[in-house]
Amino acid sequence: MNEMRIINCETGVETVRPLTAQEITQRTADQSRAEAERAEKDAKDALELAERTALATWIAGQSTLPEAARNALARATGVTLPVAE
Amino acid sequence: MSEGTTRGEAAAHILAREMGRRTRAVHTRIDDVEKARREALDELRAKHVAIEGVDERQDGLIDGLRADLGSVQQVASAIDQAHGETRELTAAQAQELVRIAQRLTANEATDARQDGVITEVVDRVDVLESTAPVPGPKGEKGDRGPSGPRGVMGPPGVPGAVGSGTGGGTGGGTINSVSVSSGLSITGTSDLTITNTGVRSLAGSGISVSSSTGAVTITAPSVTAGTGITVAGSGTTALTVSATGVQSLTAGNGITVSGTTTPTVSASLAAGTGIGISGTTTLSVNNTGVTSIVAGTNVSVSGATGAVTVNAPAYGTTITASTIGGTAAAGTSIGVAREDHKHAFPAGAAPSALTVSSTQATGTSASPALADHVHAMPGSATAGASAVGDTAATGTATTVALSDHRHSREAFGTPVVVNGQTTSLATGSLSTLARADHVHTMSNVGVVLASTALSAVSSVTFSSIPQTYQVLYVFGVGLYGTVTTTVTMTVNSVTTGYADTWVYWEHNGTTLSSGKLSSSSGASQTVQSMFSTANQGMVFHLWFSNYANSGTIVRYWNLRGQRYNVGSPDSVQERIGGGEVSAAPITSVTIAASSGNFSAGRLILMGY
Repeated sequence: MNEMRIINCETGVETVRPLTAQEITQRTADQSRAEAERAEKDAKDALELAERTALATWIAGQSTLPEAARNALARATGVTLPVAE
Repeated sequence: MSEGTTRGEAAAHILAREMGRRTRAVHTRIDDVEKARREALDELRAKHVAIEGVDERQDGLIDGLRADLGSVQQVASAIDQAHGETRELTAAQAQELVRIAQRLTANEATDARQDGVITEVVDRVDVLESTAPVPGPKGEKGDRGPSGPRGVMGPPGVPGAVGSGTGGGTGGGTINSVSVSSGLSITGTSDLTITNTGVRSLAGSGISVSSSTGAVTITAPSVTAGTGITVAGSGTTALTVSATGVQSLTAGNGITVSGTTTPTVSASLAAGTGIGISGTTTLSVNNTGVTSIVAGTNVSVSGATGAVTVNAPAYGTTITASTIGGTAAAGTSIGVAREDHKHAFPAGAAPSALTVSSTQATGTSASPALADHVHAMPGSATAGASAVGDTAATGTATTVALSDHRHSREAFGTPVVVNGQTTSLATGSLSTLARADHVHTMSNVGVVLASTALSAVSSVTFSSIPQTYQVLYVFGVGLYGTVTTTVTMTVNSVTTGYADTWVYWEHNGTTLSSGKLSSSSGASQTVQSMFSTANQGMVFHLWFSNYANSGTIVRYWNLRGQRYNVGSPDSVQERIGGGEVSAAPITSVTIAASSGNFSAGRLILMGY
């Protein structure tokens, strides 16, 4: 662990050396950044899901509109209307 | 010398001194002589004692010999009495007497020698005893006196009278032991019994003896010569008997001789072809073959029996010649052929020449082929050259190929360049050959620059990347070793300025979502992210365009598939993105896991 394999493309010779302190720090930073990116993305996904759920609920609640009109609105907005109980 | 001494006194004084010196010398000499005399006397006494010892031994021996002789005489007398006759000594007994006499003679010689020594010793003693105390000059040695007369040997004892039992009082010795020679045996101790165990009587066949005991005369029978035998010689000791008749037999032809004392002479007679033999004592020989002759065809005879002359047909003089292809014929001639007759035979001729593709032919020549005939063969010519794509051909040449002929071969050509863009499969049209170690130059073909296994390693760097391609391509496939891992990319060891924009699609089994992400000024570029269980699969592609051009921003594109989340909800994500990384040519690319090691897979770098 914490080793780098170096392949010389001209000679084909492979060597292995330990990671430098900077490279180890970089690994940690990369890991943190990836997790932050994932958290950011998950939060965004949750927000979008809530917005879409609210939109689908609102469309489904427009009882004055014919069902065909509600379905057309759902397809246009990319949401799935909840199944009526 | 004192003053007043006269010459006479001086002389007297000197004489006195000389006399004194000489007196002392004479005394010394007398002492020496006396000592030598005593030593000589001691030596002579010792010799005398030794001689006396020898005399005593000799006297004992002589007495023993006398006793032996007396014993022998007594034994002989006893034998005579036992046989009732006067018997001569046997040869062994006579030899024993001779040996005794020789020993007596030897003793007498020893006595004479001892007498001489004794006389010499006596003389020397007399000389020594008469020697004056003062030795004078030694005189000449006188002649040795004659030896004294040998003492008279005592007479042998007279044997005692036979049967008187008194023995020879004067000459009889003591018998210590009695031994007998062969043919005699003795038994007893005081009264001896001597037995003749040898010849006691004589008799024989074919000879005559005068008596069986005592002085016997043996007479052999007389020899008379028979027919063919002669007897030579007189007396009875040496006769020569010689054969004067047939002494040897030699077998002639047809005769055999066997045996020597009574030779057997045999003859044998065997019947040959046409002869018969019968009878034993009187043999009859018969002609069982031709008894008469009759002339047949072409033959004449002078008579049927007796001395017959048979005349054969005459030899023919005309002999026909043989020809090639001639047929057999019985002939009509009445002449006969001689043993060495000879038919004329066709002569040989030069054979015809062979040609390539000649066909078999019987021939029409009237001449035969000789054993060493040789046909002319077509000559050879230089073989033609082979060429790529040659087809088989019969050929039209009128010459033949030699066993070591060789065709010139096609030359070797230079391999062509294989262009990955334009070169297509082709049979080719060159007339040259390819060597086993030929090499083609490649162009416009993707080349694997490096390939390494992803196991037990956390990062991989491709260094010294050739700058001879248009595009770099990195392909990674494998497994993550840890639960949460991201894979990053850096180039030329630069850790700043990485910016990108992404579009993604994600599906969790029920919902497909998509979105757009972007980042800027990162220390590295993420090319794969995984938030799931360990050892989940990954795959990503990474392209760098225009990577070798200095002063130009290098752009990259990334396509990846990743299991983005496990449960709540479980989702898989595809991402496409890109960005700018450097204004310098890319000579190295590093792919690294942010946590743990890659557990399996492969990372490949290609250029094209």
